[in-house]
Amino acid sequence: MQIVGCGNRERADDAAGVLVVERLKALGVDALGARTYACTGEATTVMDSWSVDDDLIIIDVVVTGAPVGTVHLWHELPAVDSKAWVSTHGLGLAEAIRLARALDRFPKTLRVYGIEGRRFDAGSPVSPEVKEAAENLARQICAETQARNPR
Amino acid sequence: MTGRTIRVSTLARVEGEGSLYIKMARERIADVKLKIYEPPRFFEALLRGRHYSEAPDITSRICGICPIAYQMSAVHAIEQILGIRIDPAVRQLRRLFYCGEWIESHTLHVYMLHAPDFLGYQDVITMAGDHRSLVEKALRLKKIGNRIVSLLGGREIHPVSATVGGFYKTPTKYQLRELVEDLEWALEASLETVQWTAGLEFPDFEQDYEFVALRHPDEYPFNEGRLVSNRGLDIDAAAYEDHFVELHVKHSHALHSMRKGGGSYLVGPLARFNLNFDNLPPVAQEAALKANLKPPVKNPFRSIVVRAVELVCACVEALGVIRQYDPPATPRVEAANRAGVGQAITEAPRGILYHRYALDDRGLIVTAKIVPPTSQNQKRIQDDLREYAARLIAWPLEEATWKCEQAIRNYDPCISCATHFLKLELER
Repeated sequence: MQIVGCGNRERADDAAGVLVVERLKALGVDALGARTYACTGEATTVMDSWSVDDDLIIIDVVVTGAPVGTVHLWHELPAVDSKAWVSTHGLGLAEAIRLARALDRFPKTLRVYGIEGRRFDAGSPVSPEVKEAAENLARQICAETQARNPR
Repeated sequence: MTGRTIRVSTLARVEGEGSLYIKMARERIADVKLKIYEPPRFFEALLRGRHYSEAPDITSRICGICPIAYQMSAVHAIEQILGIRIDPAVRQLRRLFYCGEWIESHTLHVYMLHAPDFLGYQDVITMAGDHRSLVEKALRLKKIGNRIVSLLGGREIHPVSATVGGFYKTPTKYQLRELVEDLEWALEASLETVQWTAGLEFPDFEQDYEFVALRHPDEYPFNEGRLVSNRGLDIDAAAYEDHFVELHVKHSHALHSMRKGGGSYLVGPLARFNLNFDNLPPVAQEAALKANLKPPVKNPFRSIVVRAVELVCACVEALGVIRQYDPPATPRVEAANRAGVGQAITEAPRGILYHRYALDDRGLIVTAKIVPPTSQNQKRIQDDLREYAARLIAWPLEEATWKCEQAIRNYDPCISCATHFLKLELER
């Protein structure tokens, strides 16, 4: 299993994916055979983090209008407005997943967890609801990893 | 037809948020506005009161694709104030660092942002279905640029190792040697990129540009040189503000740069190539000539080929630095605080990047001024569009809009840096 957390530690709730990966490491999932990777979500980097044989979990912050801290789960790429790709030289996570499919680099299985965020300004703390959601999601993924790899 | 308007409300495949408005009336272009509505970012104000040592880390945050350019312009300007002379090995490492950024940035733009325009795809993802090997090649090339930046800068995005006086940590000979095999592949891939881009179809469109770039007596410019143009400019960075002025225009959060007493000018790959062809490595010169690319190149659409030539240059330079590398005796030179003013210009992938700092005797930044390449090209992009759109008056709106967006992407604009980019509105 490969677990990829995307985000920016310095931009408030954008840190959600990274927080989950940090917590998973602290919980010892690496010793249970899962690989963890925290990154910004830049497409070419994130695509290199998995192989076609992986059961892949990706965690990132999302804004859908749901209550802050809501954890969404998609088994495919969530529908993304094409205009989401207007404002960046770096391709993002959605482009990484779409590009991986176009290049036959799609993982064996994919789950995308999206934690609903509220604030993204530089230097602000992570919202309590996002922190709690990250902790709960980390514990859930850890328990699943333990169940898959009983010692 | 009495008139119509092209409106692109959000420009795609550029960095940042902007829009384009073109008003056509009675078979002529009545108005062109490149509107940059991304909010101002106030980096210059943010720097005031900070110690100079923070400048490379703060300014690297201005851009995710050219942070090294920001770091390099900052450290050079501040080193000038402090009277620091860097170790020659550090100078070479800075060139290598810049090579990594050019490889990352040019690969991204050539293959992923600009190639879809020439091949008729909405984006690189749809292009990947039909041109898989091209996209695979791009991904590998970009990864090699990322490796260089990561090794020297500590991480791929917003690197942290560059500092005033050198680097916090320098690589070993062995660490650099590990890049050689990848770079040898990258050089071959870049030569193929020149051939491939040269085979694309380019509109017949040339302009009488004033090209502005750094020029060094012996090297293709990255960090050093005098600022020159094809119209006689030849100045030190310290004289930049005597020759260039920034103007506020109502429709843009990015300032428009102009030549004092003149008009727009062009910075970036075309300018560098035209003013420094003789300093390209022989293999890059040969590749350019084989691709029928001889200075002066005045067709902005052919900038994609020039970027490919600069990819070759960056790979050759990187290999040269690595093969001659001996680690510096000390990674960085330290210096006492000193009051003064320093200016520096380096060549970001998109063109010259000017920084000026004034420090007090405690090393605190009193004032900072940053003029990014996209600000400098912004008026020139509008001038190109005024001429180019005039040829598209009779075209169907959708195609005319696409062509105008492509013309903007010739410049690989970075609106986030310039506010520091694009919706298109075409009104007829």
